[in-house]
Amino acid sequence: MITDNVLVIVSAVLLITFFLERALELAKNSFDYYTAKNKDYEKWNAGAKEAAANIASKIDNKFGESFNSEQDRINVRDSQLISRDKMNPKILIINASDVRKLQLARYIRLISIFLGIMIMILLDLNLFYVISEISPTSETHPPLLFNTLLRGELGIWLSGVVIGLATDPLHRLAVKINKQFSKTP
Amino acid sequence: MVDHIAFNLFITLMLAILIERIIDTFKHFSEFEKDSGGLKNVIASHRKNISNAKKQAEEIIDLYSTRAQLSPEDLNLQAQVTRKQSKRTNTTTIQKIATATPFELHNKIKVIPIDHLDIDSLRNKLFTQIASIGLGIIFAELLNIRLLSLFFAQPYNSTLQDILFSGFVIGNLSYFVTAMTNFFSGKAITIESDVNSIYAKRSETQPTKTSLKDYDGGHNKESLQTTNLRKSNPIKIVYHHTGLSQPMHIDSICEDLILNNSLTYAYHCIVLPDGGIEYLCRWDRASTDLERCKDETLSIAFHGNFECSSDAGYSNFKGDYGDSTPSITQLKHGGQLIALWCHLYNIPLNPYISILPHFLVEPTYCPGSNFPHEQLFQYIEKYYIDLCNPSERPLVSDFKSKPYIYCKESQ
Repeated sequence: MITDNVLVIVSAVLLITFFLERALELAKNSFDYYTAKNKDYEKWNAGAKEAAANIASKIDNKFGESFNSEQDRINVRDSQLISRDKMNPKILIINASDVRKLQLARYIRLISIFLGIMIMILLDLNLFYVISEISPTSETHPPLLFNTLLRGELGIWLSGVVIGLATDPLHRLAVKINKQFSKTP
Repeated sequence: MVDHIAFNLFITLMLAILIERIIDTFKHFSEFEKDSGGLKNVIASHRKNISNAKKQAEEIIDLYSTRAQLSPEDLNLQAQVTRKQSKRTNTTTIQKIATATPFELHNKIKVIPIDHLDIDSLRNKLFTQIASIGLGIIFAELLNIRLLSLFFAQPYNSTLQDILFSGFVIGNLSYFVTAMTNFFSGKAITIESDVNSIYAKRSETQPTKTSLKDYDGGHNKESLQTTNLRKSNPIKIVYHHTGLSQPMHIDSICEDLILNNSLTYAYHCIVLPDGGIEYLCRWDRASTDLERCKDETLSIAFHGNFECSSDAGYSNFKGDYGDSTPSITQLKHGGQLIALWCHLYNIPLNPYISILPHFLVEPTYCPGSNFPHEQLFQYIEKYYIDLCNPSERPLVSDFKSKPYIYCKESQ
C-alpha cells in the first residue's frame, strides 16, 4: 500500500512539474515571438554592452595585461557570457543573445518558483504532509519536523518551491533529449 | 487505484502519440506547399543574402578606402607607423577595425549584437505547441480524461480547470514523443557515421602538399593551349570555398570541380587546410566558374564548407563537412597567393572591389557565412607589403618569367 501511495505521489509531482515546465516554455516561446516580431533587440544589445563594459573594467582594473589572470579572476556568471574569437583567441566576445538567454533563465526560475507555490496553494497539496503520512516510521517514531512545522502553510509553500526548482532540471533533460535525437536541428 | 491511474496514463500517452502524428502530417503538408513555391523562395533568400552582404561590404569598404588608394611604398610606410603605434597603445589592427564599427569594443571585449531572430521558426514552434495543446484539450474532453481528479480525488472532477490541465499535459507530451520517435528511428546517427567512415578512408592516401613556388600550369595545361583564351590579363580576384568535405581526397575534389566534362576547372587553384596549394587551371586561361566575368578574373578556392546558416543548401551547420572556418595556415597561404597575383597582374589592393568574395559576383552563399574576410584581407595586405621588399622581389621576378602566367596579347 505504501508503495502504491508513493507511486501516486511521485507521478502527481512529476505531472505538476511537467505542466509547469511546459507552461513556462510556452510563455518563453510567446515572448521570443513577440520580440522577433517587434524587433525589440535594443534592450538586450544595450545590456550586452553594459556587461562588456563591466567585465572589461574588472579585467583592466585588477588584472593588467596577463591573459591567464583574466580567465582566473572573472566570476562564474561572467565566464558564461564570455567566449573567445575563433580566429584570434586573444579577443574576448560577448554575444547579446547569450546575455538575453541568461537573463531570461533567471526570470524564469523566479517565475517558476512563484507559480509552483500558487499551484500548490490552489491544489492544497503539501508534499511534506504526504511524506509524513506514508512514512513507515510515522506510527512508531513520528518525525518531529514533518509533524509540526511542515504540516501547515509552510509545508505547502515549501512544496511549491520544490516543484518550482524541479522544473529547471526537467527542462534541461527535455531539451537535451530533443537536441540529441532530433532529425532537424 | 494504481491500475486505474496506470490505465489513464496509458490512454494519455496514446493520445499524445496521436497528436504527434497529426502535427507531423500537418508539417509535411505545409512543407510541401512551401517547396512548391521553391524557386521564388530561393530567389528571395538570395536577394536577402546579397543585400546583407552589400551592407557589410559597404561598411568595410569605408574602412579600407583610404588605405586602398595608397601605393605599395606608402602602404609599407603606413604599416611601419601602425606597428609603432600599436606597440605604444597595445592594440591590434582587428581591435582598431572593431572600434570603428557601430558596436564598439570595450577595451578587449567585442559585443556581438542580436540583429535578428528567426521569426519563421519561432512562429512554427509556437504554432505547433498551441495546436498540440488545442488538440489535447479536445481529446481530453471527448475521452473524459481528468488527470487532476485522478490524482487528487473529487474536487476537480469535470471542471474546466481539470479539462484544461489534462489537455495541456496531453498536448505537450507529444514533444517528448517526437524526441523518442527520433531516438528509436536513429537515422541521423547512422548517416553521420557512414559519411565519416567514407571520408576517413579517402583521407588515408592524401598526397604531400605543394607550395606557392610549385606552379607549373596546373592540370591539363597542354590541352588548354587553344581553348579558354583570355582577351587580356585578369583585373579581379574572386575567392570561393569549395563547399566540399575537408577530409576528401584531392583526386575526388578535382573530379568534382571539372565542369561539364570540359578540360578546365572551376577554379585556378585550391588552398587546402594544411596550407598546400593545388594548381588546377593555367593562370593565362579562364576558369569556368563565373560565366559573366570569367575572362577578367582569377579564382581561388579555400577547401572546406564555411556556410553555417541552417537554411542554406549543403550547409555545414552541423560540422558534417569538417571545420566551419578556414585554418590560419590556409588563410595565410591563400593571402600569399592573392598578394602575388596582385603584383603579377597589377591588380589594385581594393577589398570587395578588385578582390572580392563569390557572393558579390553571383547570387550564392559562397564562400560561406563563417568566412573571415577581414582576416584574409589583413594577410593579403601583409604579404603584399612583404613582396615589395627587395629580399622578396626575386619571387615575383621568377613568376614573371614562368610560362602560363600572362596571356599572349599582353606580352
